[in-house]
Amino acid sequence: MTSETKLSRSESFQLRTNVDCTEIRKRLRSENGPAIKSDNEISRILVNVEKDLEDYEAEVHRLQSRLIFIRNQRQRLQKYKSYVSSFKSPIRTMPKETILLIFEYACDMNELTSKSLRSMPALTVSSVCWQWRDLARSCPDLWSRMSFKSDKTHPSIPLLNLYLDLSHQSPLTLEFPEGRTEPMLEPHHFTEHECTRSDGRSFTVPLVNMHEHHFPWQQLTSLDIAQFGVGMKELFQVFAFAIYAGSTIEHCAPPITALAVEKLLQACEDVIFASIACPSLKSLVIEGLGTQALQSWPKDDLNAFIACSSFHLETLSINSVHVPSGHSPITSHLVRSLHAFPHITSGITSSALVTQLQTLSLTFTGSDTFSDSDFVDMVSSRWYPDVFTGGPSSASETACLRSVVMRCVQRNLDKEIYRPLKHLEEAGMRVVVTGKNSMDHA
Amino acid sequence: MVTLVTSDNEKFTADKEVAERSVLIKNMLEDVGESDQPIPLPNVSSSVLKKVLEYCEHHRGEPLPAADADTTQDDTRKRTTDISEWDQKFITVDQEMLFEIILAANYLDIKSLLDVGCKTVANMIKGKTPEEIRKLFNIVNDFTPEEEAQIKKENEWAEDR
Repeated sequence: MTSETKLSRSESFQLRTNVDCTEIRKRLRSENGPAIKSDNEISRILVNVEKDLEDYEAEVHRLQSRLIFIRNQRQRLQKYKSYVSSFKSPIRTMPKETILLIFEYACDMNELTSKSLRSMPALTVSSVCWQWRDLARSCPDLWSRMSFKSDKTHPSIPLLNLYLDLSHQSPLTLEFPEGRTEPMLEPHHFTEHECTRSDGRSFTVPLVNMHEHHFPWQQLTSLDIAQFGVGMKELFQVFAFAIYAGSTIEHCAPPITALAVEKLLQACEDVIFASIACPSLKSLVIEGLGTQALQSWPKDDLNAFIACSSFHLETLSINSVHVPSGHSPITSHLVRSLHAFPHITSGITSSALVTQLQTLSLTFTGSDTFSDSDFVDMVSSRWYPDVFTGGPSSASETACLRSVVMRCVQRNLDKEIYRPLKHLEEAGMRVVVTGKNSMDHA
Repeated sequence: MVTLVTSDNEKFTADKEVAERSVLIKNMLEDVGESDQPIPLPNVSSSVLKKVLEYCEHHRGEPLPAADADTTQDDTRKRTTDISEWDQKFITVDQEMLFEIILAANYLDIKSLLDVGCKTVANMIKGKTPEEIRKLFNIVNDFTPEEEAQIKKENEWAEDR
């Protein structure tokens, strides 16, 4: 069997060259000077060899991209296995009443000034899984035992409110440090009182009187926030209903749902993310205006907004947002939450978001805050070669990412880490990655 | 003496005083009266019943909690998770056995054993983060993205979230 026939069976292209090394070596030893055969023949062979090498290169990329896909499918299956094997977890056999009894013992006291989840068991158990959350929140006793051991720090107001709300009418057990004279709960009472007055003063009469239904939310299909003036921001603030806790503002009302909005171009104003949810959103473009740096970036509000509005999102673009170092909108959490399927990285579990994403464009101006390998993993997880090869549609729950642009302005990129994206690019994905050291797939 | 038959059809004999630490068995014996008929325990395997009887034997003669002692005032206040030295040694078993003992204690209505089991699990939970708890008990994070965003917001003040 010649090498040509061997290859033609396994490769997707037909080899043009008869790769017979014995023959060519013989000729090398015998053909010298005038004995060399036609120059045309040698040139023809070389042209064919070049074409075959190109085909091999393409084949390597095709197989590498296939490998990336298969590895991701394996990872997905492993995740699925962890879900299924969790059914065999002994603790799942416990009746609800017994789990509640365990919670009662585990949540004997919640240290609200500790800044540590480990010291607030009621909050901790309610963050484990849906069933535990449901159980814990249905048991007021768990939330009724609070201690304030630190004589220097006050508890976070929203945290204290959460405990007070969930304790319902259950008698409270409060532990204060010995000898503390300053009343701990007075500041809480004061800020709540203050918030009402602050809201009353903040807004002009027409805006306060404008009811949610007076604004044509249901008719909007595209929102371009950059074109709205100060009045629109105030409108959102009215609906967001902010409470003042010290110097910070916390949005506590559920966001307005604008069902028809499919496109949102967002200038760098923070209010919108806390105020509305757009479940039909297909395109979210966030851009900075001018070169003036923002004081901070509402990353938690953005993550919450994406979580509420990501069901149909096909395009996500965050570019030219000027923020101080360490406040980049492109965070580790954002990158992980774009992964195609739930996974655990560095002990943090992320859920799959933005299932329909096909175009991703990010400009990163910081120097750290997310891991390059997490980014490459995330992009690779969204690769479904069947989309390009016309094969059967994948059983995946996520769409194939077709275009990814990542520009890191102040950060050097490691070519080795980003190498898998080169394979994806060769296999059909549009990939543009640039760093300070100017690496570029395009 | 009382004869108990487990789910895997093994027979155990125990002193009436020991077996009657289980409220379920005590009630059954009262219902059937003086009889040497074996008592079937279809929800308890032999390996678990062996442990349960070991516990009951050790605590033989101790006063039983009053029938209406639970869910009263003291239950709503701060609970202690202290466990006696012998009980701690007794309950040092693998996770599968621990939960089977709890299930058996619940089924057989042995409140003190149920408490020991639940306190042990509670002590395993205490001082851990949600992720550490998931790993310990093989629980998966099944929150929707919306629920997870809400939890993240609730926990944003925490340095170890």
